[in-house]
Amino acid sequence: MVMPRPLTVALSAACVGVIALLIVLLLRKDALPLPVRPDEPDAVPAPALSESKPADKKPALRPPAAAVPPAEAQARKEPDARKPAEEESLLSQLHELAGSNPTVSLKIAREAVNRFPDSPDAPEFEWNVVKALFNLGRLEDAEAEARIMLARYPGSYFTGDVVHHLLNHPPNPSDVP
Amino acid sequence: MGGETGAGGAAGSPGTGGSSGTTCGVSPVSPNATQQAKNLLCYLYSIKGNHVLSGQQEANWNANPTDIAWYTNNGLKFPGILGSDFLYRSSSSCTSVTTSTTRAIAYWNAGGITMFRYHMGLPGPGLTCANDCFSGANCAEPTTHPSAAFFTSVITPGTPENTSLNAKLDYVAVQINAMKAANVPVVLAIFHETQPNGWFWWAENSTGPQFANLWKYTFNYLTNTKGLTNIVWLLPFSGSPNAAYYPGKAYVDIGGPDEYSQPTNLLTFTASGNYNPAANVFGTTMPIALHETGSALQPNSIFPGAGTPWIMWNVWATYENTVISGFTFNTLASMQAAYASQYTVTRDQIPSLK
Repeated sequence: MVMPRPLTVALSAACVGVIALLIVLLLRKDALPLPVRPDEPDAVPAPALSESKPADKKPALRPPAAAVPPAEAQARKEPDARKPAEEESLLSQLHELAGSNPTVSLKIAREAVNRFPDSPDAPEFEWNVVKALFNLGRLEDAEAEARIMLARYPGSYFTGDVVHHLLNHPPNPSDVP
Repeated sequence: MGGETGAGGAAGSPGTGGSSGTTCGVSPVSPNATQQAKNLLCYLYSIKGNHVLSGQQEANWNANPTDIAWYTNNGLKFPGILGSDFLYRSSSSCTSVTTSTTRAIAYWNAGGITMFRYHMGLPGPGLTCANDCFSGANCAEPTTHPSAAFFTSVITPGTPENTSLNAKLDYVAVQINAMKAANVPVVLAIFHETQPNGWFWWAENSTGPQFANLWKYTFNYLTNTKGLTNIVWLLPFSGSPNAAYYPGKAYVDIGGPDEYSQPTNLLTFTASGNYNPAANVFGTTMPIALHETGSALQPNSIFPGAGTPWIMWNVWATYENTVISGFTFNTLASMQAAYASQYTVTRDQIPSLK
């Protein structure tokens, strides 16, 4: 059967349109924000930040990725460029907060650990949990969390850091015989 | 100058691995630096790119630290650098020379290099070096956290916080002056492991400019007020050097990061990921030191080529031979490999810097 010419043209145009739309969607896939699963905790709102962000509140524990040789970058588990935007946002919030508001840092870090436990950044999230507890004066909780971190992320720089500062630090002079 | 021959080679070949001359074109930032401080800094510049100094922090909370003895007991040479800490005093007095200082002087006289850090307690009303502690209220890792205003008051003359800081620096000056009297230069790594949200009070919630001002104040107090000219100033960052905390090259001779991850291979460890971030802050000319590390570097994996031309490593106290919370930072085999490298400088191979 031979279709009428106008119908053929219309169908062809529709096919081209659908294909073009699919291509656009595929190209934009990585740029689209990922949906939050309903069963995940509410996203923590970003803390209020001044318009001019001080340079010294930049990331605390991560060397510039471009300056890190590949082998070491892998060892340190540098961020995956395709990782979820929300994960990157949580990390950025923690960097911006630094030690300024440990209550908010703790909430953000806990959420990040719970949502992204297998992320390359998970040790850094966990470090922020430990450090926020420490900053809040909850030393015993910080040490307990450090031990959890040691079990979850052995070998990490961030784990080594909390081991060095919380679990194996030098004694106080008053404790030395 | 250095070169590949000898620096880590046969024992008793002093003068290799660099130069002790004072014509290197670089002078310490301390005004009127002593000849020994000049010699030391020139030497550190001379080994950059061709050799690396071995180092070991001693557990000077013990009356008789055994860290250095571990090396010789295991057939290794003495580390080039003896790392120490002003936190631990051998008397209740803040005006007595400590046994740590005495050991540092002896190490220099035996051909080594001395390096000190200071777990200074949080300055506060009435607090002196006698109140210093590592962890707890008013300690280096304080449970009482300084406010933003603290960082202004601590460097403002006449405030209780400033009086306290000065008292602690006076104690430091006693120690460094004892070294100066003995013609001993000291690498001073004060305010160590600095980073935003750091563990110690000087960086816990200070801004970069606040930390830089604290550093400048300390520099001026020790050099100008106390007249100490035998210091080589090392700015000791944590694993992520941050340019906002850098007070500038007028106040820093050398700089560097720390490193406490567990290497995947102890026999090829180079801490390569830590080098460039430090060089991004300090520049490509200034010597970069791994001022604290869990694991010893493996110079055979660094040189020749020297993409990461560290000038020293300093293994933390007790980490040379102890498994720390499951972290095996070093083994006897890895230490033997590090110390057997022709690019490693041990104490006997440091040229005369006197």
